[in-house]
Amino acid sequence: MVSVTRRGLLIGGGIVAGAALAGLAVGFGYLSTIDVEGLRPTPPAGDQPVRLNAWIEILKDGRIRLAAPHTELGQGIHTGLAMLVAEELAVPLARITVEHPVKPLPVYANFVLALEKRPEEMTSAFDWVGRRLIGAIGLIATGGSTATVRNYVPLRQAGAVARDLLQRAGAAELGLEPSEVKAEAGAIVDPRSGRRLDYGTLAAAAARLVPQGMPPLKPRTRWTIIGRDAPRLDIPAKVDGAARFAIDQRLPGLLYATVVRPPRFDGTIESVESTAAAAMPGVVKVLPMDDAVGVIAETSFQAMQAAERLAIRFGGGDQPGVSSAKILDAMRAAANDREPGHVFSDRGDVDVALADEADFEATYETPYLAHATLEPQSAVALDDGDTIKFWSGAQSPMPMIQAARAIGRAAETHVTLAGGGFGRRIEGAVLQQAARLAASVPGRPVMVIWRREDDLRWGPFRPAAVARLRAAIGQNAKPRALKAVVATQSVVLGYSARNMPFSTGGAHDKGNVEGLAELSYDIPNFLVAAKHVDTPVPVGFWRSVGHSNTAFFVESFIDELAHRAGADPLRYRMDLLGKDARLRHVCKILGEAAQWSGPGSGSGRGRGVAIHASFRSYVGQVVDVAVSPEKAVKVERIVAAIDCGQAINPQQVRAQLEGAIVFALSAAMAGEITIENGAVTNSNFHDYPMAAMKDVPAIETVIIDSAEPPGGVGEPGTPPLFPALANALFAATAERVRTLPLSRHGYRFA
Amino acid sequence: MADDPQTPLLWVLRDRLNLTGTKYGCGAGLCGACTVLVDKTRAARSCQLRLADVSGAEITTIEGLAAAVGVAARLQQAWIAEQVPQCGYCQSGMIAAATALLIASPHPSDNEIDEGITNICRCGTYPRIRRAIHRAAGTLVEKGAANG
Repeated sequence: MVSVTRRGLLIGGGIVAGAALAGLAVGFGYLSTIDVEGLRPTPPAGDQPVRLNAWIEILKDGRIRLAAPHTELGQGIHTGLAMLVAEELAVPLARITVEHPVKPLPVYANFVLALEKRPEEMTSAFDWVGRRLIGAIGLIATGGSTATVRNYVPLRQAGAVARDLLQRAGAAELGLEPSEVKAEAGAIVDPRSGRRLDYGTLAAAAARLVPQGMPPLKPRTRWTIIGRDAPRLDIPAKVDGAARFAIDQRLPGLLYATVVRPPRFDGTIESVESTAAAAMPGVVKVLPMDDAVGVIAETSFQAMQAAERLAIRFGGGDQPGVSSAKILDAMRAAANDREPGHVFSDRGDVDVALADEADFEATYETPYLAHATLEPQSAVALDDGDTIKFWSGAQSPMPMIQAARAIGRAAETHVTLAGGGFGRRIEGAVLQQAARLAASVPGRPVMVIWRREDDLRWGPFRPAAVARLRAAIGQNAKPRALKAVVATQSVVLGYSARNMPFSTGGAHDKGNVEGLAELSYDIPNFLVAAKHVDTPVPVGFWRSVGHSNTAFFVESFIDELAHRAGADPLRYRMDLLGKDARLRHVCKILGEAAQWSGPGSGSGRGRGVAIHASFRSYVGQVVDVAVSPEKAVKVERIVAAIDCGQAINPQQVRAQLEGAIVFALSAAMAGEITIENGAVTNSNFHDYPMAAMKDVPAIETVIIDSAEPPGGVGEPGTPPLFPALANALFAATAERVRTLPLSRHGYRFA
Repeated sequence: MADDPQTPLLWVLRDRLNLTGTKYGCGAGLCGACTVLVDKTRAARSCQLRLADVSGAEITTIEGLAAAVGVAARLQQAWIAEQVPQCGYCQSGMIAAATALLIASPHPSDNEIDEGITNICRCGTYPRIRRAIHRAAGTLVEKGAANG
């Protein structure tokens, strides 16, 4: 019943976990009781803030508290969601404060992530059941660039229903009909007398009313908030040190901890000699756990110092020969052997078209990559005997609940601001450690912070991949056949093994070929296959996931075909996009914005272009580079165009494009996790370097005006940068880079 | 102060004084998330300063920066105007570094900014940081449609 897809699999495991968690016997009668609309008010109680529905609370002074079940990772989602509510509730945006809800109501679940369609498309019986099941297990999560998609209609509806209650309450108070009053700037107004009743004074009366159907939503032409640049609500606290991340929580009696894990991926803890560490100043406890040894102290630094004094005998590690070089060898062999692999896309007859020999073929390779969020993995936990209270910038509270349950406790989940996410904070390891450490010192809150070296070494990582692409060229130099075989590691398999109660066995992970399997180019004979290469290296969701690999493969390959044909690379792409009007339009707008006039004539300067559709959005990028004879690369200009449907907060769409581009630029130039003897050799930012101020030019962004429903914006800007940069280098130097990072070929930032 | 004089200033600020605006990012002086202002003149990475090193020095963290140095208040306003922060984790250190830059060079060129700010922002806010520094310095030149 639950579809076997990448994110579907994630949910498949989650449903079982959640059902076991709540001890549910799922049936129709039960499902009917699960509220997945969340639109009913809660009867007011005393002076408490009045809850008009699952999202909206009104305080006495008229301020609005929005429960946003999405983690603010930096993507500006809290402001975007507040804008949706403000538009329909008719309140100034600045009156809204946004908090991640503590109580995991079913209505907060991320149905889009699970069911892979928009809420407004969830009309079938399957969707009816699916939403309630997913709500019942509390699948609250931030990922897959879904939060705006998930909330675009429901949060406007929540605002509209709440406004309607206030309007009826205000009209009654004024002795008028609801149609005779207006909702305006946080008040109900009688236009004739000018009398105003603030929402704060009307909320209690409004909460005693029953919602009557769904009021019509404002038409786009009457919007005053959505689609206009709005300042982010969280930014003032992020310029004066007031913003509180997980590592900034200061609870009474707080203790600090760090952990030591086996250097090898499959290592175990055999024995721990902790006498010296325990004697260090401030050390409270040394706690051996399944996968790590924890040290609790009075300060973080004391814990980190003591961790270095632990003498641990590690076991396991029975795959000492594992190395990233050997893994890439295995992936190369898999990409080239005669096994068909798992076919994800197949039209026409590729094998006939390619006959014995392709007109052109190329093999591309990408490395393992780390997220390297600037706030390392961190969490606070407090065990009060029955319940573990958590504070962490997790991308989902579910791993908190699972971590508490694993030691026989309930969970109270506080999702804090996160110092970067990028997919890293959907993992439960640090939460499991926090729960176990807290349980060892009941009544005392414990903050676990991973040292940077540990954060970088333990993964999970974006998987390395090797892709072999072969084409047969037909009329007008266009490909009439394309066969792509991608050899890589399944992210879903690794994720579920680490975070789910059983392995969902997703070796055939469509995420390995996402962005390639559904390629928009008109190529009549087309086949995409994937091969899962099993390794002990933990892999996970990394900003744009499979697209971060596939965009590099296919957009490098198409660029090669264009250059071989002597065609303009942008024109060549547009001519292949007859069926995809949106991506074609992105090309047109991008070309105009970048004043595209071809890739340039080499001699150390060049331009590259790449386009890619992902997460319901369409992005194109043009990169200009200047390359010295010593291979010092100056990125001189980056232009990006996006069609993300309706942009909610355009300046934040731009911010996400900028950020996604810089994220990829770091990775493309020198991002490479290297593994030797079953362990990561990188340790900190000196050997896993980031692009810095001097490496990043002004980034020009164009948002295509669109009234289509929103697509994602957190991830779609990342994939095209890899090929656009490699294509620019080719234009500048005539060296075609098919293996990332660029540093492998001697390139560096100027 | 109960801490060993060898304790890095970062952890004294964070765990003893509860001045949590200064962040831990790498512990190796590489990322700059822990940058503070020393003697109201220069930026320093507090994970690389031992408590013993700063005896007698005046340390200003993000919490007190705007009150201590006028240029920092202007930078904070510029940071808001340019909508710089994303996750925000690096921004205390960025603003401390930018403060020192503007004290040393009140009207910096792009090149001075690029060379002077070596902190890491994992969210990639560099272009907006560059604009915000120019805005605070009164050297912002509007060009093209960027961030329009």
